[in-house]
Amino acid sequence: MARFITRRLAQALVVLFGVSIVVFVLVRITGDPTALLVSADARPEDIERYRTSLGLDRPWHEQYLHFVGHALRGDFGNSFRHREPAIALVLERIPNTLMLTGAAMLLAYSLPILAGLLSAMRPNTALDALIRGIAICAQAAPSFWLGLVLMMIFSVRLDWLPPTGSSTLRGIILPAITLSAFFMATNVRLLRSSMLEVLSRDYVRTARAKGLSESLAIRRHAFKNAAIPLVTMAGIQFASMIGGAIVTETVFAYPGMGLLAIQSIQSRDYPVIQAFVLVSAITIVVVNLLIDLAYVWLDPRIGLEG
Amino acid sequence: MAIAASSTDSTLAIQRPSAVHRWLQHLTARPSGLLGLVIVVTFVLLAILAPVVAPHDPLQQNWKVRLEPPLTSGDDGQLYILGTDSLGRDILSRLIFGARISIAVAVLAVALRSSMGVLIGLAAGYYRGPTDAVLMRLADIQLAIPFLVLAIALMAIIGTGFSKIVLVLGVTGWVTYGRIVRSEVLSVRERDYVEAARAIGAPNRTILFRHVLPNVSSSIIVISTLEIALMITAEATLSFLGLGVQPPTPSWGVMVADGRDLIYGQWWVSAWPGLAICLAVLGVNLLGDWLRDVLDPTTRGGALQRRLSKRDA
Amino acid sequence: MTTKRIRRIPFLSFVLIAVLALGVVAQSWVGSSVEAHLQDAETPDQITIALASELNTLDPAFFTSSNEQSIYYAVFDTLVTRDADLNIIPGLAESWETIDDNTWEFRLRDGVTFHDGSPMTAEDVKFSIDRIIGDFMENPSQSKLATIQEVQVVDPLTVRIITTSPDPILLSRLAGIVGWIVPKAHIESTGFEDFATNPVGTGPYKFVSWVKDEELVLEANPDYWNGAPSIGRVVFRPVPEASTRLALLKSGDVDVIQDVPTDQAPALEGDENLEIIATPLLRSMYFILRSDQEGPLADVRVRQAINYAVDKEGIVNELLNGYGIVSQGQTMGPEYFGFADDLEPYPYDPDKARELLAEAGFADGFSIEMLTPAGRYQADVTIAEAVAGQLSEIGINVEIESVDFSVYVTRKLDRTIDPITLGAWSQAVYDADGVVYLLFHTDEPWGVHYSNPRVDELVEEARSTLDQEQRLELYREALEIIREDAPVLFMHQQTLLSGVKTGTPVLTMPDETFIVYPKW
Repeated sequence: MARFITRRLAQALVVLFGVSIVVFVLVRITGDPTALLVSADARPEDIERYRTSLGLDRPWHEQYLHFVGHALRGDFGNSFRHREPAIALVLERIPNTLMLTGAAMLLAYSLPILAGLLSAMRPNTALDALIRGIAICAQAAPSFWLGLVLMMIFSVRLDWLPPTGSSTLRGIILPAITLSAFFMATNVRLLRSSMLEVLSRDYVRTARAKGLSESLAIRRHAFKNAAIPLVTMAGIQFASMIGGAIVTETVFAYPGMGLLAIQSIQSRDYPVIQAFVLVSAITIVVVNLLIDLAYVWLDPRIGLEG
Repeated sequence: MAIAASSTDSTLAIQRPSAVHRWLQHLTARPSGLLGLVIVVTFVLLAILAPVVAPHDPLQQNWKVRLEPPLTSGDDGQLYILGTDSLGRDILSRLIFGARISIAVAVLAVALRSSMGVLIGLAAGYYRGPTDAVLMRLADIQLAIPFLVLAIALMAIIGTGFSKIVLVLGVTGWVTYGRIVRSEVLSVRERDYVEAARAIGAPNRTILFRHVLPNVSSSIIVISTLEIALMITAEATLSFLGLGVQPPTPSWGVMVADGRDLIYGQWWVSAWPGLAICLAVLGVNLLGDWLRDVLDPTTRGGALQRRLSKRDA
Repeated sequence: MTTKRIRRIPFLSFVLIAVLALGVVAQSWVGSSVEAHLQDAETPDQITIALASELNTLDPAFFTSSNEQSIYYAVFDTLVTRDADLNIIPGLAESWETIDDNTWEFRLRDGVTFHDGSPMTAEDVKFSIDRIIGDFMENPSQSKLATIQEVQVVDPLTVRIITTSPDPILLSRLAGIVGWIVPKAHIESTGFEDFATNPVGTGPYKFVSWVKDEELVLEANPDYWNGAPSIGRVVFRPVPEASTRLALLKSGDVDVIQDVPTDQAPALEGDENLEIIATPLLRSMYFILRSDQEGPLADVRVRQAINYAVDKEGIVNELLNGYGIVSQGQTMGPEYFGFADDLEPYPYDPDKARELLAEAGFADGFSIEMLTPAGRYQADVTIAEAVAGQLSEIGINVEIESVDFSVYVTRKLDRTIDPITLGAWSQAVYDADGVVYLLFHTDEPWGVHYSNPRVDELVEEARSTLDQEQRLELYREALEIIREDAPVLFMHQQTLLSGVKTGTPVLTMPDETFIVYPKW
């Protein structure tokens, strides 16, 4: 186990190092940011001077060494747009994004359990079909559009909820639904199929044969087993939500990491993009590490190869 | 993730001889599969026959009848069944022609994803050692960078347009396939018949394609079907970010994205393409569920879905 | 248009949509029911404005967008400012005079203090300009005040500005843009970096807080030299999605929304609690027709044909719901000094266009690429599609390339734009120099790839002539040549739509800034 952990940690470091190179090179190939950081009529000489002041005239390898050297100490440089530390801009938004993704996770793991169980216990009935139909449609709706439609219905027409998300309870409901719609739908389908799978297994049949009532059989054996994939999914879905938050946060003008990321990309704010990508990469890597560990712990039959 | 993914799927297998028979059986046994098939076939037919089916030229602008609601008749007596868009173009015709683009983007992107993933997965699993380590770390790196960030950056470099979208959606999605194929190769590699093939001197390529690939093809097909649904929405998301196909070419994604400013006045501009996306995804998903049951009755796809639920867009 | 409940803003005037407190005299009312409006108007305690994008910086030396100018106008003052008719009026300078062609002397207002309580003196003025033109900070705005050679402090309330050559638009340069006066002592003790997020000025509003992507809060400055504002707080919120802004306005969460798409106007007009402010902007839209490349566009007849082939009236009236003004054969509107009001737009005449194309040897048309930014300018892609559609009618097959604004800007700067490229230009100096020189002079970095020795001569001369009558004539001749040469497809002057809760006392200016407290 210790060896396994050590190896996974080493791999994680390699991955983060790789991410740093990829993002560093990628943002620079997208083009020079200087013209976007000055007024629309700036003179080339102004732009050139500003570029020099940002250090963008230096060779890439020099810039990279500078970047890595400082990043290791937690310094990602100053945002080109705001001229303040990039990492601070990213970190101060983490609570907002965590709240949004947290609320979305809560939704993605509460409703679907009920719906998925209902669906699995009465397979191929009208109820099952309805639940699956809704799930598939929720999976299909482009999230930006879903968000705007929800806003129109619940904020403008019904006036129940504020149209944009702030990190208040009421403000977070619509963005959280928008962000979690896809995952709710996925989880309904996931739970349904794994329940069906488990229910068809021998030991559940045996339990039934022994005379355990249907609901008891489900509760004792099936649900526990069927929930395993759902539990292990949690980390992966959480990581994907952080990426998916880019769209949701833009639509709801929600002050999180995703909104910062999209604006930074559009204005080629290299330091902030780099800080954002590395922070999300660390999150994703750590979460994956935890899942791997949790999985091994939950199900020791799984070998430690990887 | 790597471990989670390799846990349960190595049992995937298909029984080839009775396949056709079983397929038919399943189709009649599961009406939802039939429904999915009907939806998908309808959309594909619409796309292919677009010039014949579409009531109007999808590019023909008529500013006098712009943003008209569904079932409006134009000044020349023409009927706009689903209404018109901001340049007075017939939405129904654009939807029908848009099916071509949206379906082609999805199918081609998935083709690219799966073929890249299969090749990389085969290489990683077969050669193991350093090759495997490098490729799998690459996969981790890619997964650690949020998809949209990667996509936007790539498109800023190579530009936008149909082929660019296919390329970007394609190259950013090989990991799922790669991992499945790799884990399959790892388990098949040590089996007797592969050992035997190697003993009699069969070249590596033959072993890979004869013995390994068939074992993973069912999972590949099932994942691909479901990924097509994902790609249709991914195209819409890219359009939302201004990275859609080039105007005036209609695609569902671009139509929804363009209409999103109008939901308070002219709901139909974005609602119809939104509905088209939902229907298409519904069809593909139903078909995918059914395929999964046919091809892979043992797992019921729990593990497959787990992989798929890493959302791209 | 007549049935819509909106008041359009005529030439050189603004609409006051409510009684402005402080007894400011309403400049001009267009439309009806002024009295009703006056009665309705109540001064709210707070105004919340939803902007379409987040600001980059609050330090005027680094300004990047008109949104930032809205904040500067509230927090800072300039030596001179503009009234509702865009005339230059005193600001922090009470009066000024020219000593000679290159020397301007400004007499400063006495008793003006910065928000930190320190008095505003000639030293601050010198510092504010020096930090732009000097090399001691790497600011990107140096060239905006490039004609200034030196600032001299005569006494605490008198400064002299020495220019390198006679500058007819010096006052315009100082009336906004980067001409804001900042506190020397404060910046020297806290630094530029801090100033970018904690600005201190002399303006009618004090900066309170800025949580990026969330809100920026300003608070009335009770000691303002021109009288305290009556609206206690002004809050700016960045909301990138147009439909989200509309939802916020409709649900009452904000009072003002910026940049309403023209097709959303009906959704606002249908709501009796809301109204639209429509302001003609300094920005005109056009399509660059690259005459510097081999190919059909090198022929002036082809460029003229394109101008005849596009129905500008139709685009403005139908596609933009009437919001916009067809350009009079020039890439600026009457807000600019130097506007030639007797020039005519190219009429919509497809037959004439075909004729010209045939004369030029392109009777069968040709294929060509068109570059447009996506989602940057009002209806940009829609307009590109409309123009492409019209050009196809005369046989020109246009392939549109729509790109992200970042890509567009880079290509413009690298001079690698497509033969036809959508352009939009505005210059807050309100002077033809900023348009005619910067777009049509040979080898200008943001120019339209046009070169004509006579035009170069004319705009160069106009740049250093102090006699304004003579400048008018120089521009008149240049504009006439440009119209004939057609290096661009002249489109329209944009109209900015803002949605407001009825009666909200806010104004929008032709440079897109929001004004809560007018300084005239």
